[in-house]
Amino acid sequence: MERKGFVLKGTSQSVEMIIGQVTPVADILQQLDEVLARRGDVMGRLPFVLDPGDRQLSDAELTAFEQFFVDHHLDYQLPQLEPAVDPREVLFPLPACDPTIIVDHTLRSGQSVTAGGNVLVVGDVNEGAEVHAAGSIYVLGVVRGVVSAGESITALGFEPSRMTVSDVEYEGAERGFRDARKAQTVFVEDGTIHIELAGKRR
Amino acid sequence: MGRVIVVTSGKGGVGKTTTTANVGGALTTLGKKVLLVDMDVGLRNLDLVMGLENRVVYTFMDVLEGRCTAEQAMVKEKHAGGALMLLAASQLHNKQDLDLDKVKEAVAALATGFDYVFLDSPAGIEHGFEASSAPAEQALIVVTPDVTSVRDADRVIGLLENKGVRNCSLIVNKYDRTLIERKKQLTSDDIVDVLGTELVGVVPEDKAILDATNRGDILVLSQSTPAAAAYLEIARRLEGDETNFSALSTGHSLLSLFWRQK
Repeated sequence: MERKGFVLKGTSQSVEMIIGQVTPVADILQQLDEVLARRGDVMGRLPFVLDPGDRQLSDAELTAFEQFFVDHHLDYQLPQLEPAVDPREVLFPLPACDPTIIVDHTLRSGQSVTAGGNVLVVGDVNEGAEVHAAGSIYVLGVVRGVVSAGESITALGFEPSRMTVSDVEYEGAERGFRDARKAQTVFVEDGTIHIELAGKRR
Repeated sequence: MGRVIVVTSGKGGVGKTTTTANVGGALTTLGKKVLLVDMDVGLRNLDLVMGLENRVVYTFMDVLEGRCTAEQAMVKEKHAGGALMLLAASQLHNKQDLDLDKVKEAVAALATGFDYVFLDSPAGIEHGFEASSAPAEQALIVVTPDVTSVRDADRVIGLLENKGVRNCSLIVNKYDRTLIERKKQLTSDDIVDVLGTELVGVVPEDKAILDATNRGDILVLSQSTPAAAAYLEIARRLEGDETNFSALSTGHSLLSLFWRQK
């Protein structure tokens, strides 16, 4: 049992009020009332900054603090309420990345897409078109243009004019691709480019 | 209200103007009323291809700027009996002088009197191309079977899609069967594979085209050659007929043997 429900720390600009983790708010306020009755002349001129530490205060408790400060004609500052947390996000957190950009047509010469996340192209990436993605690129068509991805590139056909995965350049673009019209995934392992049938990777 | 179709390619020298004249001419043989507008301001050619250079008094630019009516500026083609008309481009202006809104308005007004209005676009993707494609609801993309032409066509199709012209059809021009058989040229399948656009015509390489152009005759209205047959097929396809591509048929028919001898 905490003996006293809070600690006061005076600075030149404010009085920081660090409250205990378990003492009921009503008790804290009663103790504060007593302190103010004794020393209010000194502390009453500075704003009170409420610091709950790790303690989660309910709306009602915060309102009780607010009401107390208003009643005592004190300046005050309440902690910012954390936004309500959806329990599903705690259980199934989404990966922290940009959403996938979906391009619903063939990218033609002169068109380009750059994304912080993944890119899905429903169509071809023609020669003269470019796709750059920090994540992966998926092409439901043939890659003929310039593509670079941070993670991997999957397509139904490969005839790229230039291709880079994880900053490793594919050297074979000049020679042409083996099995250029199969669904394959290009990724980097141990600093070298690997090409495997799509879906077979690990 | 007639269909407004832009004939374009990106690359120059692929046969836009010849295609415009011949597809337009072919449609008149199907009983259609057709207007051809030369949008190549400053480098006009369509009047030459049609053999009308001496009859041009007013140009499309004069119509746009109110110096004459459209009826005064239109020139009748010699063989089609008034079914095929030309609006020539001005040689005295440049392409920047085309006001997009005025062009759209004028073409919409012209389309009420015809079944088809073809806009013969200049090469390139600059203002002249913009002015030609702005009023169009459909595009005929002319390509030759080489990689440069195909890449430019790809770029142009992308630009047209951005402008909302989604109905793009492909004409493969100067198609040479002997080069294809020797694998020296892209096939029409290769081209359609890259461009992913509907094919409406394959026009074979045909020396008669150059000859007709230099004489100022529209091939399709003056001779029966393989290329003329291909233009007629394009006209029928535009009219909704699913005809075969005679330039792609492998068999040597009696007719093609006859053509070869000519």
